[in-house]
Amino acid sequence: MAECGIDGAVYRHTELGYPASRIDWGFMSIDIASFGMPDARCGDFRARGLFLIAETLPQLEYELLRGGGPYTDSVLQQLRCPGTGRQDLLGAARARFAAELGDVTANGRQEMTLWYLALLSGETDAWPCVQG
Amino acid sequence: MALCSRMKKADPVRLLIGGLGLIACWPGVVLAQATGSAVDSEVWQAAAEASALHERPRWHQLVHYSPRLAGSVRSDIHSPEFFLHPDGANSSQAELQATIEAMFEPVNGLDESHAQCRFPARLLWLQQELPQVTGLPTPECIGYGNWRGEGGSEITSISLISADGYLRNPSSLYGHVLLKLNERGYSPDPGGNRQNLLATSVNFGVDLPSGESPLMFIGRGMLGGYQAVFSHARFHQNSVLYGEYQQRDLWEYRLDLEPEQAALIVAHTWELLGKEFTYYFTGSNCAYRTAAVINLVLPEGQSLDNRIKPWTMPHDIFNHLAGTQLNGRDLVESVIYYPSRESELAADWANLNPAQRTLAQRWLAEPDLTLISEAALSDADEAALLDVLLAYSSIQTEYPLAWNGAPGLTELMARRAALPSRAAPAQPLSVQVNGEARAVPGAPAPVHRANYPTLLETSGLWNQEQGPGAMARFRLSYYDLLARPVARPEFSELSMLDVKVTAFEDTVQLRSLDLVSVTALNVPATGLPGTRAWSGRLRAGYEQTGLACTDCGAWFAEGGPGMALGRPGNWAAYGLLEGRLDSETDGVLSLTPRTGLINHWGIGFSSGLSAAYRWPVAQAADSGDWLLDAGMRVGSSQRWDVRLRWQHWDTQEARLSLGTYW
Repeated sequence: MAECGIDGAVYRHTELGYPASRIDWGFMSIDIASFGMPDARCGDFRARGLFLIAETLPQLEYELLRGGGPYTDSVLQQLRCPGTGRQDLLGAARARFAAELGDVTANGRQEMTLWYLALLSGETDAWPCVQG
Repeated sequence: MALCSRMKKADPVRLLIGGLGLIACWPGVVLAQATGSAVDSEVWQAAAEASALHERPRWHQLVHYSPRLAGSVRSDIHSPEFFLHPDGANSSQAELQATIEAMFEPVNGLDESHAQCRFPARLLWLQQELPQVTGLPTPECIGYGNWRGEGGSEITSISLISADGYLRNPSSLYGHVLLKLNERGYSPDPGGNRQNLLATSVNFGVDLPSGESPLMFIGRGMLGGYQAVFSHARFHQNSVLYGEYQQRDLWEYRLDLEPEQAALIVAHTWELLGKEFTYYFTGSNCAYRTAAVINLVLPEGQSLDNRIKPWTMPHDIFNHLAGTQLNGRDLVESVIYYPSRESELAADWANLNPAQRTLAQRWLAEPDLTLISEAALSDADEAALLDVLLAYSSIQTEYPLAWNGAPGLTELMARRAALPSRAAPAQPLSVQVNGEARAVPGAPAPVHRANYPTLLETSGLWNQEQGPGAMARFRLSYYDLLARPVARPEFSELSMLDVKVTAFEDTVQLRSLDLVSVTALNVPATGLPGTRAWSGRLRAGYEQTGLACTDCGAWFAEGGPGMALGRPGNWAAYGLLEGRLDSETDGVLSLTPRTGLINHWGIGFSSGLSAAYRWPVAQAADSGDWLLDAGMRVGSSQRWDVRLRWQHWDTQEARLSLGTYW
C-alpha cells in the first residue's frame, strides 16, 4: 500500500462492483468522501489526486494511447514520481492496452485506465512508485 | 480542498501573559489584550492619518474605488460584506479607519470572520506602509491559508491566461482573460509539471441566465445589465473547456514577480471571490478586472489597461503586458502555448506526407486497419497517422461524451498503443517576449503580437460624383478581413462601433456607423470529412445607401450563411447568400449573393476582392445594385498600416488611408 498518494480507492471502487457510471467518461465528480481519507497527513494530497482523476479519465486515456501528455505528467507529479521510471510506467500500461483493448468494451477500457492509475499509484506490486 | 491543521506562530511573550492570565483570571486576559490592541490600533490610525493613506492610489485599487463628481469616490463592488464601514463604499477614509480598527480586533475563536482573514491584501499593504507598527493579533485563517497553499503547495507565481476569441458565443467574441495561481515547483519545461493542471484559476465573468439570447447579452452587457463576480476553478477545467470542447487555443503569460508581489495578488484574489461588480461588455469586463488585480503590483500610476481609453479588450492587456517592465526586468517571464485539440490536429495533419493523408482519407471512408498495415509504414509514420485519426475521431464525436461511438475506434486504439510514443502532443511552447520565438512548426503567433485593438484612420479619397474629399474613421475594435493576420482568426472580421465620416467640398456627413460586423470564413485545415464548417456574415448599423448620394442614410441589418475554401495561412475564396433589411423605404428586404477572395501574402501584405449583387425582393429585378470592392493593406506593424481601396456602389470611389492602432 502506498504511504501517500492515490491509495487505490478508485481502483477498489470499481472492483467492488459500483456502477461504472459513477466514474463515467464525462466530467462527473466522484464523491470523494465515500472513499474516506484515513491518513490525515495526506488528506489534501489525496483529495486533489482523486479530484483530478475523477474528471479527467478521458484525457488520461487519450494520452496513454499516444504516449503521454500534461495530464499524465500531472498525475505523476502528484504521485511524486516524475522523471525516473515514467517511460517504464507508460510502457507497461500501453502494452496492456495494446494486448487487451481489442477484446473489451468501452466500460472495459475504463477499467483498464483505472488499472493504469492504480499502477501509477503504487497500488500494484508492479511499480511501487510512491515511497512517501 | 481538505483542511490541514497547523500551529499558530509561537509568541513567547503572549504565551507567558496568556498562561499567567489563565491561572489568575481569564477575563483579565481578554481585557489586557483588548486594551493593548486599542492602543496599537490608535497608533496605526494616527500613522495612517499622518500619511494620508486613504488618498493613496494603492488603497483605492484595493477597495476598487472609481472617481465620481467633485472629487468623491465610489467602489465598483456592490457586495456589502466587502466593506468594514457602513459608508465604506463611498468613503476611502472611513473604510481605512474601519479596516485598521478591525485588524486589531481581539481573536475570539471565530478566526475566519476576522478582518485579517477576510482582507489579507489590505493587511499586507498596511504592514508595508506602516512597518513600525506592531501588536497585531494573529488569528488562524484556515480558509485563506488553504487558498495560498500554506504548509503545502504554496502559490509562488502568477500567470495571465488568454483564451482565443470564440465566435459561437457573444460573451467570448473578444477572447477571455483569467488568472492562474501557480504552486511552487511549476515549470513549463519538459520533465516538469508542465501545464500545472491542478493550479487554481481565477475567473471574472457573468453567470448568464439559461436561455439568454446572444443579442440580449450584448445589449444588456453594453448597458450594465449584469452582475459579475470572481470565481475559481482548477485549471484543468479551463483546459478541457477551451481546448477540447470549444477548440480555443490558450496562451499562458507567466509573470516574473517578487514573492511579496505574488503574495499580494494571491491575497487580493481571496478578498474578491464572490464579490459583485456591474459588468460592462467593453468596460468592466474580464480584461479590465483581471488587469486591475495585476495593477496592484505595478508602480502607482502604471496600468496594464490603456487608461486613455474608457474601454478595455483582452488584446489591450496582452499588448501592454509584453512591453511592461517591473523590478528592472520584463514583467513577462515566458509565454506558453496550449493548442486546442483542433489545432493539434491541424499541426499533425500538416506534417503528414501525401501517402499518409491518402491512407487517412481511406480509413475514414472504411475504418479497416488492414489498409494501413498493408502500407508498411515505419512505426513512426504509422504512429503519426494514427494520432491524426485519434484526434479527428475525438473532435468529430464530441469527445469525450460520444467518443466511444466512433467507428473502428477500439481497433485504432489498440494499434496505436502498440506503437512507440511520440513527443507529448500538448508540450507547451516557450517564447521569450523580447527575444526570438523558438521555432515550432504550426505554432501561431502569441496574442501579444496582435494589432492594438482600436483604429483611427484618415483617408484621402476621390469620388466620381462628389470629387475629391477626405474621410476620418474610428473603430473601437478589433479587426477586419484585411487586417494583419497575426494572433487572430485569419479569414475573419470582428468589428464593433466602426464610424466613418466623409468631407467633400461643401458637405460633411456620416458615411456609416457599423454597430457590429462579424464575418467568419471557416477554411478547413485538413479537408477531412465533416471538418467543413459553415461560414457567415452579420452586420448592422447605419449607412449611406450608395457612394453617389449625400442624404440617403438608412438603418440596416444584413447577413447570411455561406461556404469557404482555401489554404490556411494563405488564401480563402468564399460565397455568401445574405438577406438585408433596411429603413430606407419602410423596411425594404433585399437578397445579396456575395463572393470574394482574400489573400494574405505574408504578415505585411494582404489583398481582397469581392462582388455582390443586391436585389430588392419587392421591386423589379433590374433595380438591383452591383457592389464591387477591391482593397489591399501594406504594413507589418502592430501600430499602423496603409491601405488602398476601390469601391463601386452606384458610382466609383478610390481612397488611400493611413491607419493607426492603439
